[in-house]
Amino acid sequence: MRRRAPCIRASPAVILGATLYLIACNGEHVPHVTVAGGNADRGRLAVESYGCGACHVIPGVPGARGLTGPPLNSFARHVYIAGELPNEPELLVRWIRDPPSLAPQTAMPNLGVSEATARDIAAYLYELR
Amino acid sequence: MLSREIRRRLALMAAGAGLLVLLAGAAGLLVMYSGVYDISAIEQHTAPVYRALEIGMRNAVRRRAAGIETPPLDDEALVRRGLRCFHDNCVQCHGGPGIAPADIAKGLQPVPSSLAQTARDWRPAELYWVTRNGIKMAGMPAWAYRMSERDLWATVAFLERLPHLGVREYRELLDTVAEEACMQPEGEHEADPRRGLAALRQYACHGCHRIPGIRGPDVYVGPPLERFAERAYIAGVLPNTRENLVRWITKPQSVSPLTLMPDLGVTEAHAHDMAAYLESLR
Repeated sequence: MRRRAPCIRASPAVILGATLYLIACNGEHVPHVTVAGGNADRGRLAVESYGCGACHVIPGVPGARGLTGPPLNSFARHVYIAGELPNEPELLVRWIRDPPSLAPQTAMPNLGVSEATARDIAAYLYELR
Repeated sequence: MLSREIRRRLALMAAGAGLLVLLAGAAGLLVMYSGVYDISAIEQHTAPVYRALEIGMRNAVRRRAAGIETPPLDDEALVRRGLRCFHDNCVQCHGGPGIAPADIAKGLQPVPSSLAQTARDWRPAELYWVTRNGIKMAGMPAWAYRMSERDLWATVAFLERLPHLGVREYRELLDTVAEEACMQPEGEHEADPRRGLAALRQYACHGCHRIPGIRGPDVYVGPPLERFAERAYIAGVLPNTRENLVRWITKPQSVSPLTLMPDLGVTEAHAHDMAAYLESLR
Protein backbone atom coordinates (compact mmCIF):
# COMPACT_ATOMS: atom_id res chain seq x y z
CA MET A 1 0.00 0.00 0.00
CA ARG A 2 1.19 3.52 -0.75
CA ARG A 3 1.57 5.84 2.14
CA ARG A 4 0.50 9.44 1.84
CA ALA A 5 1.15 12.37 4.04
CA PRO A 6 -1.99 12.97 6.11
CA CYS A 7 -4.10 15.52 4.30
CA ILE A 8 -6.95 15.74 6.82
CA ARG A 9 -6.39 17.32 10.19
CA ALA A 10 -6.45 14.50 12.72
CA SER A 11 -9.30 15.81 14.81
CA PRO A 12 -10.81 13.37 17.34
CA ALA A 13 -13.97 13.22 15.26
CA VAL A 14 -12.03 12.12 12.20
CA ILE A 15 -10.08 9.49 14.15
CA LEU A 16 -13.25 8.18 15.76
CA GLY A 17 -15.04 8.13 12.42
CA ALA A 18 -12.18 6.30 10.75
CA THR A 19 -12.06 3.78 13.60
CA LEU A 20 -15.78 3.09 13.41
CA TYR A 21 -15.50 2.77 9.62
CA LEU A 22 -12.68 0.25 9.98
CA ILE A 23 -14.63 -1.70 12.59
CA ALA A 24 -17.73 -1.73 10.41
CA CYS A 25 -15.69 -3.04 7.47
CA ASN A 26 -14.02 -5.75 9.49
CA GLY A 27 -15.83 -8.61 7.72
CA GLU A 28 -15.42 -12.32 8.41
CA HIS A 29 -13.54 -14.42 5.96
CA VAL A 30 -15.93 -16.80 4.21
CA PRO A 31 -14.15 -19.35 2.03
CA HIS A 32 -15.56 -19.94 -1.42
CA VAL A 33 -17.21 -23.35 -1.82
CA THR A 34 -17.46 -24.87 -5.27
CA VAL A 35 -19.86 -27.62 -6.28
CA ALA A 36 -18.60 -29.98 -8.98
CA GLY A 37 -20.74 -29.49 -12.09
CA GLY A 38 -22.87 -26.81 -10.44
CA ASN A 39 -23.73 -23.48 -12.06
CA ALA A 40 -24.97 -20.77 -9.70
CA ASP A 41 -26.88 -18.81 -12.34
CA ARG A 42 -28.81 -21.87 -13.45
CA GLY A 43 -29.24 -22.70 -9.78
CA ARG A 44 -30.94 -19.41 -9.01
CA LEU A 45 -33.44 -20.00 -11.80
CA ALA A 46 -34.04 -23.55 -10.56
CA VAL A 47 -34.65 -22.26 -7.01
CA GLU A 48 -37.28 -19.98 -8.51
CA SER A 49 -38.96 -22.64 -10.63
CA TYR A 50 -39.08 -25.26 -7.87
CA GLY A 51 -40.75 -22.73 -5.60
CA CYS A 52 -38.18 -23.11 -2.80
CA GLY A 53 -39.12 -19.58 -1.78
CA ALA A 54 -42.54 -20.74 -0.65
CA CYS A 55 -40.83 -22.18 2.43
CA HIS A 56 -37.47 -20.38 2.60
CA VAL A 57 -36.22 -16.82 2.64
CA ILE A 58 -33.62 -16.81 -0.15
CA PRO A 59 -31.72 -13.63 -1.02
CA GLY A 60 -31.70 -12.81 -4.75
CA VAL A 61 -34.81 -14.86 -5.50
CA PRO A 62 -37.98 -12.83 -6.11
CA GLY A 63 -40.79 -13.67 -3.70
CA ALA A 64 -38.69 -16.09 -1.64
CA ARG A 65 -40.06 -15.09 1.75
CA GLY A 66 -41.41 -18.34 3.22
CA LEU A 67 -40.83 -19.08 6.89
CA THR A 68 -41.81 -22.73 6.94
CA GLY A 69 -38.17 -23.74 6.63
CA PRO A 70 -35.20 -21.78 7.96
CA PRO A 71 -34.09 -18.59 6.15
CA LEU A 72 -31.14 -19.32 3.86
CA ASN A 73 -29.42 -15.95 4.21
CA SER A 74 -25.64 -16.35 4.40
CA PHE A 75 -26.02 -20.02 3.60
CA ALA A 76 -22.30 -20.37 2.82
CA ARG A 77 -21.66 -19.57 6.47
CA HIS A 78 -24.11 -22.12 7.87
CA VAL A 79 -22.18 -24.87 9.63
CA TYR A 80 -24.88 -27.54 9.38
CA ILE A 81 -27.76 -28.56 7.16
CA ALA A 82 -31.11 -29.24 8.84
CA GLY A 83 -29.45 -29.32 12.26
CA GLU A 84 -28.03 -32.78 11.59
CA LEU A 85 -25.55 -32.77 8.68
CA PRO A 86 -22.26 -30.97 8.09
CA ASN A 87 -22.78 -28.31 5.44
CA GLU A 88 -20.63 -29.83 2.68
CA PRO A 89 -21.34 -29.79 -1.07
CA GLU A 90 -21.99 -33.49 -1.62
CA LEU A 91 -24.25 -33.75 1.42
CA LEU A 92 -26.12 -30.62 0.40
CA VAL A 93 -26.74 -32.08 -3.06
CA ARG A 94 -28.10 -35.27 -1.51
CA TRP A 95 -30.20 -33.21 0.91
CA ILE A 96 -31.75 -31.15 -1.90
CA ARG A 97 -32.51 -34.31 -3.89
CA ASP A 98 -34.07 -36.35 -1.08
CA PRO A 99 -34.26 -34.77 2.39
CA PRO A 100 -36.23 -37.59 4.12
CA SER A 101 -33.53 -40.10 3.11
CA LEU A 102 -31.11 -38.19 5.37
CA ALA A 103 -33.49 -37.04 8.12
CA PRO A 104 -36.66 -39.16 8.13
CA GLN A 105 -38.62 -36.76 10.36
CA THR A 106 -37.94 -33.62 8.34
CA ALA A 107 -40.83 -31.53 7.13
CA MET A 108 -38.94 -30.80 3.90
CA PRO A 109 -40.35 -32.92 1.08
CA ASN A 110 -38.62 -34.70 -1.75
CA LEU A 111 -39.24 -32.33 -4.66
CA GLY A 112 -37.90 -34.64 -7.34
CA VAL A 113 -34.88 -32.46 -8.12
CA SER A 114 -32.42 -34.08 -10.54
CA GLU A 115 -28.77 -34.55 -9.66
CA ALA A 116 -27.64 -31.87 -12.13
CA THR A 117 -30.20 -29.34 -10.92
CA ALA A 118 -29.40 -30.06 -7.27
CA ARG A 119 -25.75 -29.26 -8.08
CA ASP A 120 -26.80 -25.96 -9.63
CA ILE A 121 -28.97 -25.10 -6.63
CA ALA A 122 -26.16 -25.98 -4.23
CA ALA A 123 -23.79 -23.77 -6.24
CA TYR A 124 -26.26 -20.89 -5.89
CA LEU A 125 -26.75 -21.39 -2.16
CA TYR A 126 -22.99 -21.25 -1.62
CA GLU A 127 -23.01 -17.87 -3.35
CA LEU A 128 -25.08 -16.59 -0.39
CA ARG A 129 -22.30 -15.31 1.77
CA MET B 1 -14.41 38.23 40.03
CA LEU B 2 -11.88 36.59 37.80
CA SER B 3 -10.30 38.77 35.25
CA ARG B 4 -11.20 38.21 31.64
CA GLU B 5 -7.69 36.98 30.93
CA ILE B 6 -7.89 34.28 33.62
CA ARG B 7 -11.32 33.13 32.44
CA ARG B 8 -10.02 32.90 28.91
CA ARG B 9 -7.12 30.77 30.10
CA LEU B 10 -9.38 28.51 32.16
CA ALA B 11 -11.66 27.98 29.19
CA LEU B 12 -8.67 27.13 27.01
CA MET B 13 -7.39 24.66 29.59
CA ALA B 14 -10.80 22.98 29.88
CA ALA B 15 -11.05 22.71 26.11
CA GLY B 16 -7.52 21.29 26.00
CA ALA B 17 -8.31 18.73 28.68
CA GLY B 18 -11.49 17.68 26.86
CA LEU B 19 -9.55 17.30 23.64
CA LEU B 20 -6.93 15.17 25.41
CA VAL B 21 -9.60 12.86 26.82
CA LEU B 22 -11.15 12.46 23.39
CA LEU B 23 -7.75 11.79 21.81
CA ALA B 24 -6.94 9.24 24.52
CA GLY B 25 -10.25 7.50 23.89
CA ALA B 26 -9.65 7.46 20.15
CA ALA B 27 -6.10 6.18 20.71
CA GLY B 28 -7.50 3.41 22.93
CA LEU B 29 -9.96 2.40 20.23
CA LEU B 30 -7.19 2.37 17.64
CA VAL B 31 -4.96 0.22 19.86
CA MET B 32 -7.83 -2.26 20.27
CA TYR B 33 -8.62 -2.24 16.59
CA SER B 34 -5.04 -2.60 15.43
CA GLY B 35 -4.60 -5.87 17.30
CA VAL B 36 -1.34 -4.86 18.99
CA TYR B 37 -2.63 -5.52 22.51
CA ASP B 38 -1.60 -9.05 23.47
CA ILE B 39 -4.75 -10.98 24.38
CA SER B 40 -2.85 -14.25 24.93
CA ALA B 41 -3.66 -15.80 28.29
CA ILE B 42 0.02 -16.76 28.60
CA GLU B 43 1.16 -13.15 28.71
CA GLN B 44 0.12 -10.84 31.54
CA HIS B 45 -1.97 -7.73 31.22
CA THR B 46 0.12 -4.59 31.36
CA ALA B 47 0.21 -3.25 34.93
CA PRO B 48 -2.07 -0.23 34.24
CA VAL B 49 -4.64 -2.40 32.45
CA TYR B 50 -4.61 -4.96 35.27
CA ARG B 51 -5.02 -2.28 37.92
CA ALA B 52 -7.78 -0.52 36.02
CA LEU B 53 -9.75 -3.75 35.53
CA GLU B 54 -9.23 -4.80 39.14
CA ILE B 55 -10.30 -1.47 40.62
CA GLY B 56 -13.21 -1.14 38.21
CA MET B 57 -14.46 -4.63 39.08
CA ARG B 58 -14.07 -4.09 42.84
CA ASN B 59 -15.93 -0.78 42.80
CA ALA B 60 -18.68 -2.07 40.52
CA VAL B 61 -19.35 -4.98 42.87
CA ARG B 62 -19.26 -2.76 45.95
CA ARG B 63 -21.71 -0.34 44.42
CA ARG B 64 -24.20 -3.01 43.35
CA ALA B 65 -24.02 -4.99 46.57
CA ALA B 66 -24.56 -1.91 48.73
CA GLY B 67 -28.35 -2.27 48.90
CA ILE B 68 -28.45 -6.03 49.50
CA GLU B 69 -29.65 -7.16 52.89
CA THR B 70 -27.75 -10.14 54.27
CA PRO B 71 -29.80 -12.83 56.02
CA PRO B 72 -28.41 -14.64 59.09
CA LEU B 73 -25.65 -16.93 57.83
CA ASP B 74 -24.53 -18.81 60.94
CA ASP B 75 -27.12 -21.59 60.73
CA GLU B 76 -25.18 -24.87 60.67
CA ALA B 77 -27.58 -26.53 58.19
CA LEU B 78 -27.17 -23.59 55.82
CA VAL B 79 -23.37 -23.82 56.06
CA ARG B 80 -23.46 -27.53 55.21
CA ARG B 81 -25.82 -26.96 52.33
CA GLY B 82 -23.40 -24.31 51.11
CA LEU B 83 -20.49 -26.72 51.36
CA ARG B 84 -22.31 -29.06 48.98
CA CYS B 85 -22.76 -26.24 46.47
CA PHE B 86 -19.17 -25.06 46.99
CA HIS B 87 -17.65 -28.51 46.62
CA ASP B 88 -19.68 -29.35 43.50
CA ASN B 89 -19.52 -26.01 41.70
CA CYS B 90 -16.78 -23.70 42.99
CA VAL B 91 -13.82 -26.02 43.65
CA GLN B 92 -13.37 -26.91 39.97
CA CYS B 93 -12.09 -23.38 39.30
CA HIS B 94 -11.25 -21.89 42.69
CA GLY B 95 -9.79 -24.94 44.42
CA GLY B 96 -10.35 -25.56 48.12
CA PRO B 97 -8.40 -26.51 51.24
CA GLY B 98 -5.68 -28.82 49.90
CA ILE B 99 -7.58 -29.19 46.60
CA ALA B 100 -6.16 -27.86 43.34
CA PRO B 101 -8.39 -26.30 40.72
CA ALA B 102 -9.07 -28.48 37.66
CA ASP B 103 -6.83 -28.07 34.61
CA ILE B 104 -9.50 -26.07 32.80
CA ALA B 105 -9.15 -23.35 35.41
CA LYS B 106 -5.41 -23.23 35.98
CA GLY B 107 -4.61 -21.18 32.91
CA LEU B 108 -7.55 -18.81 33.21
CA GLN B 109 -6.78 -15.16 33.22
CA PRO B 110 -7.66 -13.55 35.53
CA VAL B 111 -6.84 -16.48 37.81
CA PRO B 112 -9.91 -17.59 39.80
CA SER B 113 -9.30 -16.24 43.28
CA SER B 114 -8.70 -18.47 46.25
CA LEU B 115 -12.05 -18.09 47.98
CA ALA B 116 -10.55 -18.31 51.46
CA GLN B 117 -8.88 -14.99 50.71
CA THR B 118 -11.95 -13.57 48.98
CA ALA B 119 -14.17 -14.49 51.91
CA ARG B 120 -11.91 -12.54 54.25
CA ASP B 121 -11.68 -9.50 52.00
CA TRP B 122 -15.25 -9.17 50.73
CA ARG B 123 -18.52 -8.60 52.55
CA PRO B 124 -21.17 -11.36 52.42
CA ALA B 125 -23.50 -9.23 50.28
CA GLU B 126 -20.66 -8.78 47.78
CA LEU B 127 -19.92 -12.50 47.71
CA TYR B 128 -23.61 -13.11 47.13
CA TRP B 129 -23.76 -10.55 44.34
CA VAL B 130 -20.74 -12.00 42.51
CA THR B 131 -21.94 -15.59 42.93
CA ARG B 132 -25.39 -14.68 41.71
CA ASN B 133 -24.45 -12.39 38.82
CA GLY B 134 -20.99 -13.48 37.71
CA ILE B 135 -18.46 -11.06 36.22
CA LYS B 136 -18.17 -10.22 32.55
CA MET B 137 -14.95 -11.31 30.81
CA ALA B 138 -13.60 -12.83 34.01
CA GLY B 139 -14.72 -16.42 33.51
CA MET B 140 -17.06 -16.12 36.51
CA PRO B 141 -20.53 -17.31 35.47
CA ALA B 142 -23.83 -16.14 36.91
CA TRP B 143 -25.03 -18.88 39.23
CA ALA B 144 -28.50 -17.36 39.46
CA TYR B 145 -29.51 -19.71 36.63
CA ARG B 146 -28.10 -22.86 38.29
CA MET B 147 -28.77 -22.30 41.98
CA SER B 148 -31.83 -21.45 43.97
CA GLU B 149 -31.85 -18.23 45.95
CA ARG B 150 -31.50 -20.22 49.15
CA ASP B 151 -28.47 -22.10 47.85
CA LEU B 152 -26.79 -18.90 46.70
CA TRP B 153 -26.95 -17.64 50.29
CA ALA B 154 -25.97 -21.08 51.58
CA THR B 155 -22.83 -20.87 49.45
CA VAL B 156 -22.04 -17.48 50.97
CA ALA B 157 -22.68 -18.93 54.43
CA PHE B 158 -20.11 -21.62 53.71
CA LEU B 159 -17.63 -19.09 52.28
CA GLU B 160 -17.77 -17.26 55.61
CA ARG B 161 -16.71 -20.52 57.27
CA LEU B 162 -14.06 -21.44 54.69
CA PRO B 163 -11.10 -19.38 56.00
CA HIS B 164 -11.48 -21.12 59.36
CA LEU B 165 -11.15 -24.65 57.98
CA GLY B 166 -7.96 -26.64 57.57
CA VAL B 167 -7.76 -29.66 55.31
CA ARG B 168 -8.92 -32.05 58.05
CA GLU B 169 -11.85 -29.87 59.12
CA TYR B 170 -12.94 -29.42 55.52
CA ARG B 171 -12.94 -33.18 54.90
CA GLU B 172 -14.73 -33.91 58.15
CA LEU B 173 -17.44 -31.38 57.43
CA LEU B 174 -17.80 -32.67 53.87
CA ASP B 175 -18.38 -36.18 55.26
CA THR B 176 -21.40 -34.90 57.16
CA VAL B 177 -22.98 -33.29 54.09
CA ALA B 178 -25.74 -34.93 52.06
CA GLU B 179 -24.94 -35.99 48.47
CA GLU B 180 -28.06 -34.23 47.23
CA ALA B 181 -26.99 -31.73 44.59
CA CYS B 182 -27.30 -28.00 44.89
CA MET B 183 -30.84 -26.92 43.92
CA GLN B 184 -31.88 -25.43 40.57
CA PRO B 185 -33.55 -22.04 40.87
CA GLU B 186 -37.27 -21.99 41.52
CA GLY B 187 -39.33 -21.05 38.47
CA GLU B 188 -41.92 -18.34 38.11
CA HIS B 189 -45.45 -19.31 37.16
CA GLU B 190 -46.05 -16.86 34.35
CA ALA B 191 -43.73 -17.07 31.32
CA ASP B 192 -42.03 -13.73 30.78
CA PRO B 193 -40.24 -12.69 27.57
CA ARG B 194 -37.82 -10.35 29.35
CA ARG B 195 -36.66 -13.12 31.67
CA GLY B 196 -36.56 -15.34 28.59
CA LEU B 197 -34.07 -13.06 26.87
CA ALA B 198 -31.79 -13.28 29.90
CA ALA B 199 -32.26 -17.04 30.11
CA LEU B 200 -31.29 -17.47 26.43
CA ARG B 201 -28.01 -15.75 27.22
CA GLN B 202 -27.51 -17.70 30.43
CA TYR B 203 -27.83 -21.06 28.68
CA ALA B 204 -25.35 -19.97 25.97
CA CYS B 205 -27.98 -20.19 23.20
CA HIS B 206 -26.30 -17.32 21.36
CA GLY B 207 -23.13 -19.39 21.13
CA CYS B 208 -24.77 -21.22 18.21
CA HIS B 209 -27.81 -19.12 17.20
CA ARG B 210 -28.07 -15.53 16.08
CA ILE B 211 -30.85 -14.12 18.26
CA PRO B 212 -32.30 -10.63 17.81
CA GLY B 213 -31.76 -8.63 20.97
CA ILE B 214 -28.58 -10.47 21.98
CA ARG B 215 -25.14 -9.15 21.18
CA GLY B 216 -23.01 -12.16 20.41
CA PRO B 217 -20.79 -13.83 17.86
CA ASP B 218 -21.87 -13.91 14.22
CA VAL B 219 -22.61 -17.64 14.22
CA TYR B 220 -24.48 -20.04 11.98
CA VAL B 221 -24.07 -23.30 13.90
CA GLY B 222 -27.80 -23.51 14.55
CA PRO B 223 -30.31 -21.58 12.47
CA PRO B 224 -30.63 -17.84 13.14
CA LEU B 225 -33.77 -17.24 15.21
CA GLU B 226 -34.95 -14.03 13.56
CA ARG B 227 -38.73 -13.87 13.09
CA PHE B 228 -39.12 -17.04 15.08
CA ALA B 229 -42.79 -16.32 15.82
CA GLU B 230 -43.55 -16.63 12.12
CA ARG B 231 -41.71 -19.90 11.58
CA ALA B 232 -43.94 -22.85 10.85
CA TYR B 233 -41.60 -25.52 12.24
CA ILE B 234 -39.13 -26.00 15.03
CA ALA B 235 -35.94 -27.72 13.87
CA GLY B 236 -37.72 -28.76 10.68
CA VAL B 237 -39.72 -31.42 12.52
CA LEU B 238 -42.18 -29.97 15.08
CA PRO B 239 -45.03 -27.55 14.44
CA ASN B 240 -44.16 -24.29 16.14
CA THR B 241 -46.37 -24.30 19.25
CA ARG B 242 -45.48 -23.26 22.81
CA GLU B 243 -45.71 -26.83 24.05
CA ASN B 244 -43.48 -28.17 21.28
CA LEU B 245 -40.99 -25.36 21.71
CA VAL B 246 -40.61 -26.04 25.43
CA ARG B 247 -40.20 -29.73 24.66
CA TRP B 248 -37.56 -28.98 22.02
CA ILE B 249 -35.62 -26.59 24.28
CA THR B 250 -35.60 -28.95 27.26
CA LYS B 251 -35.11 -32.26 25.44
CA PRO B 252 -34.10 -31.74 21.80
CA GLN B 253 -32.61 -35.21 21.45
CA SER B 254 -35.85 -36.87 22.51
CA VAL B 255 -37.42 -35.32 19.40
CA SER B 256 -34.52 -35.70 16.95
CA PRO B 257 -31.97 -38.22 18.24
CA LEU B 258 -29.31 -37.02 15.79
CA THR B 259 -29.81 -33.29 16.21
CA LEU B 260 -26.64 -31.35 16.87
CA MET B 261 -28.49 -29.31 19.46
CA PRO B 262 -27.54 -30.62 22.89
CA ASP B 263 -29.62 -31.00 26.02
CA LEU B 264 -28.52 -27.93 27.98
CA GLY B 265 -30.36 -28.85 31.15
CA VAL B 266 -32.81 -26.00 30.74
CA THR B 267 -35.41 -25.97 33.51
CA GLU B 268 -39.08 -26.06 32.52
CA ALA B 269 -39.63 -22.53 33.86
CA HIS B 270 -36.65 -21.11 31.99
CA ALA B 271 -37.78 -22.88 28.79
CA HIS B 272 -41.23 -21.24 29.10
CA ASP B 273 -39.58 -17.85 29.50
CA MET B 274 -37.34 -18.48 26.47
CA ALA B 275 -40.33 -19.60 24.41
CA ALA B 276 -42.20 -16.42 25.37
CA TYR B 277 -39.29 -14.35 24.10
CA LEU B 278 -38.86 -16.31 20.87
CA GLU B 279 -42.59 -16.01 20.21
CA SER B 280 -42.23 -12.24 20.38
CA LEU B 281 -39.76 -12.20 17.44
CA ARG B 282 -41.62 -11.06 14.33
